Amino acid sequence: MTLAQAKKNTQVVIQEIMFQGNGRQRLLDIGFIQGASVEVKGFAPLGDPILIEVNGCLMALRKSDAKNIGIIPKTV
Amino acid sequence: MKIALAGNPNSGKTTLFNALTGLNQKIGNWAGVTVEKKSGRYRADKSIEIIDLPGVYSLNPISADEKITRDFLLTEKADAVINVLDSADLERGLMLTLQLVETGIPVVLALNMQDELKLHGLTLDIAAFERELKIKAAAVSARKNRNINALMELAVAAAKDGTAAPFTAQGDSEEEKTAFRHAYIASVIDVLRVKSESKIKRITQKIDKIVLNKWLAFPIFAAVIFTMFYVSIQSVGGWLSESVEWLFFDAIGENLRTGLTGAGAAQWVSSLMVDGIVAGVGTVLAFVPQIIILFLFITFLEGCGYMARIAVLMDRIFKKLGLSGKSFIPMLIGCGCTVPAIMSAKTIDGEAERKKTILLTPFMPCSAKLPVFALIAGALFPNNPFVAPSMYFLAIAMVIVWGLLLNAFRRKKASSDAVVMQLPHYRLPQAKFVALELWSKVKGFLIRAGVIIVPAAIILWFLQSFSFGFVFVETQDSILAAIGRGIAWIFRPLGFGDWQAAVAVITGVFAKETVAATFGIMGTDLTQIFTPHAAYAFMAFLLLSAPCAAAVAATRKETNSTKFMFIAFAFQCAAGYLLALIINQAGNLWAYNPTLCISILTGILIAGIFALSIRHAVKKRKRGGGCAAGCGGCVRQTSCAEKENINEAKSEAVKEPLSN
Repeated sequence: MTLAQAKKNTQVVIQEIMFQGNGRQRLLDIGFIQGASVEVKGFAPLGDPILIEVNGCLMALRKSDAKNIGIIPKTV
Repeated sequence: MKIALAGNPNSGKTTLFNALTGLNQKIGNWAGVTVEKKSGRYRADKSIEIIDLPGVYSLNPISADEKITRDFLLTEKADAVINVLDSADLERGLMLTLQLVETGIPVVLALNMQDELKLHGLTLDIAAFERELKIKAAAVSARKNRNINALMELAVAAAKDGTAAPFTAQGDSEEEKTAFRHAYIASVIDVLRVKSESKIKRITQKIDKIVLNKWLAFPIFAAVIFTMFYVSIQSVGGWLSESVEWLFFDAIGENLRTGLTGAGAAQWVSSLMVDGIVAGVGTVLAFVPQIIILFLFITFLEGCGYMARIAVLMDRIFKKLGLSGKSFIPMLIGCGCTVPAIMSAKTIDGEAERKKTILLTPFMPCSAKLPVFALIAGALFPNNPFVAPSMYFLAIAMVIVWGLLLNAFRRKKASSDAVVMQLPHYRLPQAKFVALELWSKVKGFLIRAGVIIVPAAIILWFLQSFSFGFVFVETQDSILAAIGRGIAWIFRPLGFGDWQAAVAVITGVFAKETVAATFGIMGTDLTQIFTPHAAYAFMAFLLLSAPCAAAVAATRKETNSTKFMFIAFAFQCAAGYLLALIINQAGNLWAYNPTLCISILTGILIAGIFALSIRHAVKKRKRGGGCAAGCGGCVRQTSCAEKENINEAKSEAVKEPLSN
């Protein structure tokens, strides 16, 4: 499953970043790291980008980029 | 002694820098790059130099800013680094802290934004930083100037001591090291920080529920933008601009002319002073009120956090055009002045997106183009109030059309940039912050305008006042008129082949605001040289083509590429020429046979859509084929395979309900 498919208001755990180059480093710096748990807060009014809380910070990430982030839903 | 300031963007680094140095700073550029370099002397001890480094998230040298920060620390050898941290965003900040420590330079922490910390329901254990991280820290408030001296004492002590905290990230690759640092931060964070109920987060969530609401988001957005334009361009700003114009042209200019003539000065001297210098300066300053008010709004929107929401709101639309949601900001500023607009494109991540934004932003009707539109619309379409405002829609339409066209025909390149936008918590911007930001934007405009537009106005004055024999003549016998006659044929297909229109176009390359003035000086009867549709074609040409000299210079500076500047200039001229050609020829055809005109235009439109969709389909198939064939060197192979999986999953999901 990828981050693009995650539902609103769910906690997910990052599994894999399928990104190369600059984008990968940018995502890592922000906190999209294997094993980190992030919360999908919702979507922008037009459905894209996705609003995600990482490390207590709200970030917007495009679905086309989120497709390259593998996740599993967090079991509570 | 050299002390550098480092920290994340938005951590209050610049505010601290201002507090430490007063307003006694030097702003320059880092050698070879376009990032601003600021240095200043510490207020209390002038022997200490303070250097403000660009705001960065990490020291991995991928972006220009980060490379500069890293290079500076590694080569220029600061004696100590003050690492400014947003206390409310500690995890992210500490990532940089660890990397700074690893450079071996003594680091002192400035835990900034304590007041917001309280709103977040957090408290920091200052002593724990020294205990756990072996780094000295001070809680400061850069905005309120609190505890700054104590921080500097720590920094000076650390610089004299010269030893760095012991920390090395373990791991072979940069990625493993990043993961190590994250794990380390996670292990100490709960000792450093005590959590309770967060107030600012709740407030931010409440506001976001409204401004990012599916139904309310766009009406609110439209209302904000409308108010901004109404106040800055139409009502208050427009009135102030007219006053400045009156001051320079009527009050100062005419009195100076009378005075000079009275004193027995030669006619060309008074003409140079009044028509050249005073008129040039006045033309520039007339835009200042509008630009100040517009920038005041924009700075406020940026400072309070709403601009980031606009970028998120617009991203879906701009993505289709190959741009980023953040491209909206330069386009918005572009309605005031293209120069700061191009400068503001800096924040867009993604090289392709940034360059395309710089390419398309000059299409926006900047405030210098408005008087020309008003003049022509008033002369040729006196009964149609929609002609001048229609330029805004035409500009937006052209950004969309060219965005899509460039998308369809660009070279395929595997982009590895991720578009990530931060949505900061809402806060009321400090008046001081707004004032400083505003000043830095307006100053940029004034300097560039002054350096380029005023000399341009003087050159222009010379060209239109003298003949080739350097005799002082009327405009129609001047050098400029001769050049105009020489190139007028280029514009004949566009419907304005008259030499006066050609002259106006040339002056427009120097500065758009002089176009209206040029017609005025030449005493042009607009209804004589333009048919209505040729006039509209002229307006369209002016809208898109050849941004003013200052904007062209800004393009070069921001992209750091003379080649890109020429490409952009040629592209913008070609786009303007093409649009004007279509408008004029369609207008001619309409006058000849309306039905034929409509059917041809519809035919072109359908053919265009058809060609685009075929190209799109071919591209899609190619992309699919490349992956299925298992191209070995394809960088995006994993993500491409992933995409196909998703597509397959999707098509299956679509099939399912059908089979049921």
